[in-house]
Amino acid sequence: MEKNSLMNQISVEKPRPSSIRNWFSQFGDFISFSGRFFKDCLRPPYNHGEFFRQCIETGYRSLPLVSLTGFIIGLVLTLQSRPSLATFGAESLLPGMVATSIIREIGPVITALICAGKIGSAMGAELGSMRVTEQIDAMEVSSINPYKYLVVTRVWAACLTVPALVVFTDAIGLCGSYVAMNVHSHVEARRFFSTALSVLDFRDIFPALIKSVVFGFFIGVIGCYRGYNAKSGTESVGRAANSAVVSASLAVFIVDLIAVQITDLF
Amino acid sequence: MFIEEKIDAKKDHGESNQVPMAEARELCKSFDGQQVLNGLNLQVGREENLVLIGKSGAGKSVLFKCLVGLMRPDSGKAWLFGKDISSLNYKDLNRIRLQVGFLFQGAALYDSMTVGENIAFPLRQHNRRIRESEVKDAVQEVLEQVGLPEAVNRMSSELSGGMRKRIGLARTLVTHPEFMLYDEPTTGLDAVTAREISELIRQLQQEKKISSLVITHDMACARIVSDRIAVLKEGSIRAEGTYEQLHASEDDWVKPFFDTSF
Repeated sequence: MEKNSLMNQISVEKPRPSSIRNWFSQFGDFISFSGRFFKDCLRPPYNHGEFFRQCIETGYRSLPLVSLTGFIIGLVLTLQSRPSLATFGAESLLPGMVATSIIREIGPVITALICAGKIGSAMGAELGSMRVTEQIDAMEVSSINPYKYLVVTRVWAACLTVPALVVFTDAIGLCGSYVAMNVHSHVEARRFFSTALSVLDFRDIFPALIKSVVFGFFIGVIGCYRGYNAKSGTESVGRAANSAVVSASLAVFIVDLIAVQITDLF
Repeated sequence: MFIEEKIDAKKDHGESNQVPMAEARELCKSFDGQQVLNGLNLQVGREENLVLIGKSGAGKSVLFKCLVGLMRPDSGKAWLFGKDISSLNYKDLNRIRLQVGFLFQGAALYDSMTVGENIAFPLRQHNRRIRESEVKDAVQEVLEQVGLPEAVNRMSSELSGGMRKRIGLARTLVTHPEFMLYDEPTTGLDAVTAREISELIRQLQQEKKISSLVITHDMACARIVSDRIAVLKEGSIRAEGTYEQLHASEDDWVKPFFDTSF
């Protein structure tokens, strides 16, 4: 068992298989890489300093981008939906409809896609660059577990900051919606928010938050996987960053599809 | 002693003077069908500096990575302090690695950290209860040893090639290794800095009794540093001896390395 764990730490060169075998081989590597997170995530020693640094990088530094996006989404969704609802004289349902759309679906998915681009590429590029310049090997030969120091801290940070960013985006999105409502008519802020929030219940908020944690996990682990396994040469750093964004964005949609099916069961 | 686990490690290995610091036995390694190491045998004794020379792609860096467990050989054994590293679990391998320093060709300094943080990093990771004053003293001591006491707050991106090599060396020295691996320590440096680094390696061997295995293409460095030189050809040792012995060699493969006429 312990010998197996040693083999996981050592980069083993394998003969190049055909493309389908290559895909399955990579997928297996990814499962094993992700599995190590669950093995190592609660085991000491803990790297608090690096974890907080990553929270700042992934969470705090993403705030301006998700704020702007959330505001625009709320504003546009309200402006686009208003004429259709007005046809049926159902304008009063607009705050509730926008709140449900943003909190259940649009907020988490849009935030996760932004994070896949921003956080995923940053992790892929940073770890890829560390791999290429032998910084990861330097940690390994200094008896420091690079997976624990670099990957576990980043994935934990992504798991915590993505849901926090989703909550923030949802709130800003509702503010955008309120501004859009006031373009055509005057609606009191208190009335708008109480109407919007009154249609929401536990089944709208809780699954969205759980889904956001899973989005965060996949964004973090895919970004780290791509960077950690970058090959030698500076070209591979760009490739790691690019494939991190593409794979993480795809993973967001797949997780969303599965999450919707599960939510529908309850 | 700043690193707690190291005390146990010393008990387990490395106390006996008869045990070589590092040994490779019939080591083979290939990449995509191309044989890089081909039954390589090598031994580095206690307090000995062995220099490894050979053409680019001869397998020198691969040998280093096999010795510290960063790469698995296809066959053969790599030993450190008398332990077959392929038989060790991750924890035991790490305990052995605590006794080994590795200076990478590009120094491999952590970009996101200052020089001081780079050097303190292994100390803080291996001893969570270490006091900041102890860390500061240890960092200052090794920086003075490599001749850069003023660089503590600089970022690694602000350093020249020679300074990076020195800081890389300081980062390995701070854990008090018994055995050092130097991967082209003078490559890309001017003649004066290269000589200073070579003399530093020699000084560490003489004063701190640190054995080392040095890969170099720089024959001036090889002359200063080596007790013994091994010449690598196509993944195995072609010739072995002191600098003077090999310099006098008539072997067609060995001679060009020592020919300074061009």
